[in-house]
Amino acid sequence: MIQLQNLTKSFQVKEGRHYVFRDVNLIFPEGVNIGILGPNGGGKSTFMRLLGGIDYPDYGRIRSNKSFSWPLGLKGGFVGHMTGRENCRMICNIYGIPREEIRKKLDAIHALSGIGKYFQEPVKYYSSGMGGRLGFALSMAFDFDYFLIDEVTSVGDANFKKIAKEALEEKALRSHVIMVTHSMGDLRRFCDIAVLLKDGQLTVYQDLEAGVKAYQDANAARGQKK
Amino acid sequence: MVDALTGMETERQGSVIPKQSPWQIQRAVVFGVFIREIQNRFGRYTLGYLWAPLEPLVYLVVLCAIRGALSGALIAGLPPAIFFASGLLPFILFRMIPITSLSCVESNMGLFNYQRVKPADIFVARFILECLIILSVAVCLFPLLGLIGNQFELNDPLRFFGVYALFLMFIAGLGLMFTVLGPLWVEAKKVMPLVFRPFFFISGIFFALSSLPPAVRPLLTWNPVLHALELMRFYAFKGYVLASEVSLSFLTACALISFASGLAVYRLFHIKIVTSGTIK
Repeated sequence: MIQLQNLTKSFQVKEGRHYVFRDVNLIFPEGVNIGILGPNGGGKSTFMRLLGGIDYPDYGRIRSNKSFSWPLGLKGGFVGHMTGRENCRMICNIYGIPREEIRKKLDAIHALSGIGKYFQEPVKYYSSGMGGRLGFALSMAFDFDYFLIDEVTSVGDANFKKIAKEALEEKALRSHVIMVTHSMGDLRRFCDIAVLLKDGQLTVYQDLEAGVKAYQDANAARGQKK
Repeated sequence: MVDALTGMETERQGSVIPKQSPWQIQRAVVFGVFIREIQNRFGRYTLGYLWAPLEPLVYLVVLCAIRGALSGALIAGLPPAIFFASGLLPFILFRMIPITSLSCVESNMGLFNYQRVKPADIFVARFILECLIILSVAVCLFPLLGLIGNQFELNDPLRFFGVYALFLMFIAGLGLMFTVLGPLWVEAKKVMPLVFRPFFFISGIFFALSSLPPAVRPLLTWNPVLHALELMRFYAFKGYVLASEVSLSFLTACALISFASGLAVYRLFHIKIVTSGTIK
């Protein structure tokens, strides 16, 4: 169960306080893959960080008895001057994986990421697609209840999307995704329900297509205002 | 189980890897970060670890050269090289740990992407690393200095380690405060090195308190680092002349106050320094 109670999060900006969420109360349905839609700067990534437990709300809280991966985003998460392999080893260490198992996991991560010899190169030389693939492969080495995917799939090529889909389906018995995306194709590929994030509120659409429509309507309305 | 700090329920059973106690988690994270810090400090250089003793050795050679040019006599009962080395090595800890703590949060933002990693873990990893570097330099350096003719005899190793522990406690308290101060006050990175610089001259690295006239001693005895260095020398080496002003209880008080304040300050601000939107 994921329950939001009076969740409020704001940022201090020059023109005062910008509220990303204001007193959001919501219970997410169980056992489904959730797609999060919303305009740029609408707080999608902030929401992922709150879920991942690496950022904190002004007040209110997120209650859950599930485990969440770290937000798989395009930036951060890796140390630039360390190689992909060293980074993965460090994160396995941080998550307390025993030595013997780390070696096996590293091989699995290497294979799933499909970045080949770049695994042994410093991460700062990676393209954003390669970084995203490695981050995804790394998180797949753990059994989280929810994988928080923040636009990583959008940089992947078709081949990677296929691999990602297969990897997630393999874990589907216990794991689900909460993903942020601007691609309706990815949304239909990975998600069962949609959540629209707009004007500091979250709306759950049990029917994916209804969510897509609401999102497109909201976009159209924004377009007309300008 | 509700996390008292964040109000977030963290009942996450049967999830992630084997279920771990907070202590196991902390140990795993500190270990992971520790490896990273080693690579960060030395990984990029040829001969990596051999650079660690460079700084203390340079200071030592310069101080010995100056002193040798002036006079070769003992300083407060110790050969000059031993005297300088025993002041320099602990002092480097006092200077390095708080200053590097200022950047604990900023230089590891990427790691806070992982929920388990908290600023304190990074501080602890850096603290252990610095202590190990200085310890290994000391273990190599003193026998070497003995071999090349600087006679010394150990006095009371147990009490020495007691004072050393107090000194480390004093530094750890400062370090924790600076871990928090760094992100809250960006200018600290410019100001604090200036604040710490004078301590090199007033902490008894190249003079013994007992060699100063009693009238000027009170000008220096407010400085806990001076007490720590004097006491460490006294308990480490036989024959060191300790000034009567040096006080173990003053050092103890400073260590306890510093450590307690460090813990309190960290406790107050540890959420704020990693929360977005509160500080730039």
